[in-house]
Amino acid sequence: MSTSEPMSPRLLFILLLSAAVLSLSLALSNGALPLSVAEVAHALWHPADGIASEVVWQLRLPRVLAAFTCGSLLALAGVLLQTLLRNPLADPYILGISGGAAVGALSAMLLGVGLVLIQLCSFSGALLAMMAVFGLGFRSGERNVYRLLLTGVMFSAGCGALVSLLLTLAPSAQVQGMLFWLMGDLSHPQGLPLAAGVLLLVGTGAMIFSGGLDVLAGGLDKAAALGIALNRWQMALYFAAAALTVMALQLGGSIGFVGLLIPHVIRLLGVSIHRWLIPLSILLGGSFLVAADTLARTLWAPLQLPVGVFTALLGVPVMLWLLGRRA
Amino acid sequence: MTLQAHNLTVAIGGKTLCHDLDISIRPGECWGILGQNGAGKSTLLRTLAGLHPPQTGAVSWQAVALQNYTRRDLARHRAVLLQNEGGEFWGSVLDYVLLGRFPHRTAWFRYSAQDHAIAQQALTHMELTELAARPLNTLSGGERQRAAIAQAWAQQAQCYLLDEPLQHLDLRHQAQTMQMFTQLREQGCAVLMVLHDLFWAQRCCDHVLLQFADGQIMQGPASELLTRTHLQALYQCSLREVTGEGERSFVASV
Repeated sequence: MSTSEPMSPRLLFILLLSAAVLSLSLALSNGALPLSVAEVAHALWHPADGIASEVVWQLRLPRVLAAFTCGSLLALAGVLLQTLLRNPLADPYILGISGGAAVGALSAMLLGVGLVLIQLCSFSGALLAMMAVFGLGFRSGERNVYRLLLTGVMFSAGCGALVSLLLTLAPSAQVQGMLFWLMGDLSHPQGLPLAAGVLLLVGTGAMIFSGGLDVLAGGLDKAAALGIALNRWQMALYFAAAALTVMALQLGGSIGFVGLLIPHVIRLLGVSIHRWLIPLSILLGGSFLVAADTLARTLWAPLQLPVGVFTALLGVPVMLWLLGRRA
Repeated sequence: MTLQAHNLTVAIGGKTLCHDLDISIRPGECWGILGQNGAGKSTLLRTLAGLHPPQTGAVSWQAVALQNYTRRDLARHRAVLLQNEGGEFWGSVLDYVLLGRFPHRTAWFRYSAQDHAIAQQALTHMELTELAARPLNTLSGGERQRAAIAQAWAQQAQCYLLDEPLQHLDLRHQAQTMQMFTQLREQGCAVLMVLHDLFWAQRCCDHVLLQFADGQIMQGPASELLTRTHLQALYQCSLREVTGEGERSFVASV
């Protein structure tokens, strides 16, 4: 078997499932108080049994689960958007939703309000951006996908300018918090149960309709000829991807690269049929972000680094290597 | 099981391509659409397929207007081969051909064994069995065209609308393709194809529709319309008739 032979999706699924278990157990055992895997297992089994249980249940588990969910949300959003926009460069932030969230969050920080209000403002900003881009840019059909894409990119650029303005206006004490939000930070995850619910719902829906997503990936005209009602499908994809992105932003701010990278890595490994692409991306996205977050919080401990730095530092070389291998 | 257009006016980008067209494509008929580049052949075909809304008039299948079908229902009855699919499919050739079974698919997650059998058969017809596992985007233009034809065949429709089915194909595959659709016609399918090759139009089409650049349309039996006078007017160039072994065709005289 040569190296360019596509891997069997089943084998890849088992590999990535093991990777997920591995990354989760590493994340749970590493930190200010190092624990062995046996201690972690014991603590998980006995929630109220000493300091180890407290560390695992109160501190690490919420963060690790948030990281996994966030990574999965971003990867799935990436898959759906790349299919919707027919553009390999599409990522969850391309439609300006993260721009809206950033403007909301940073404005709230500038006003010096508490964490809950910051989250609420970023949530409202994301929803406003989602509606604005949809209203201005969405028309169903073959050529109109570019219109949606361009509207999103323009909206993002506008938000980027506002973010720069807010950073300039902010007193220097607040700038670091803002930069953390912008680069992605999983230390204050919000709304994990809701996010997990959205992931489960959209993930199941995407699996049920995975056959139609394959047809859409083959070209919009072709899809219409093969029985896809373009308008309904595109609208559903837009809102599904937007909901995933909003949830991910609530969990970890705008963490870059995961949504762009993960679907491509799976495709470069030879899997592009949605029935497999979706679950494999969810698994890899989750494990990848857990690994990156574990590095971010332990490498320079007690200093915590923004996780976005590590998603890029880990992801870019892997992607470049895979691209090179294919060529 | 007739594809019918009534009072059809088709326009694109402000240009009227045909006016008040009435046409019936019956089971067992093979129609050729001929015309100059830009005359609107593809748009007319897309209109008949229900992919482009007509200005006025309506297209119906089995005496029911196309817009009264769901997209999926329609796709079970008619297959469309497009000249440009507007997409880059990332999967394998087999995955791509299987998409033709999508309208017939009943299970949520996978294609049935029967769907796979039909896709394999389609691959065999188009000599693609060896390439089945290759990513579609690594194929040559002609191989990709054969995959698209295999996909249309796998759809197992009663009506086939084909936009330049012979583009990029070598001579042997041209013959195979035309033979395949002739067979479908003999089994009672209605076939309509946009063609530039007058030889194949002569040989395989029993009816033709000549679409003139000024929006004029002539339609009728191929034997009446495929004459030098009509074709010279259609293509606006002088043609030479060539005959041999009982067959005749036209070539542009230089």
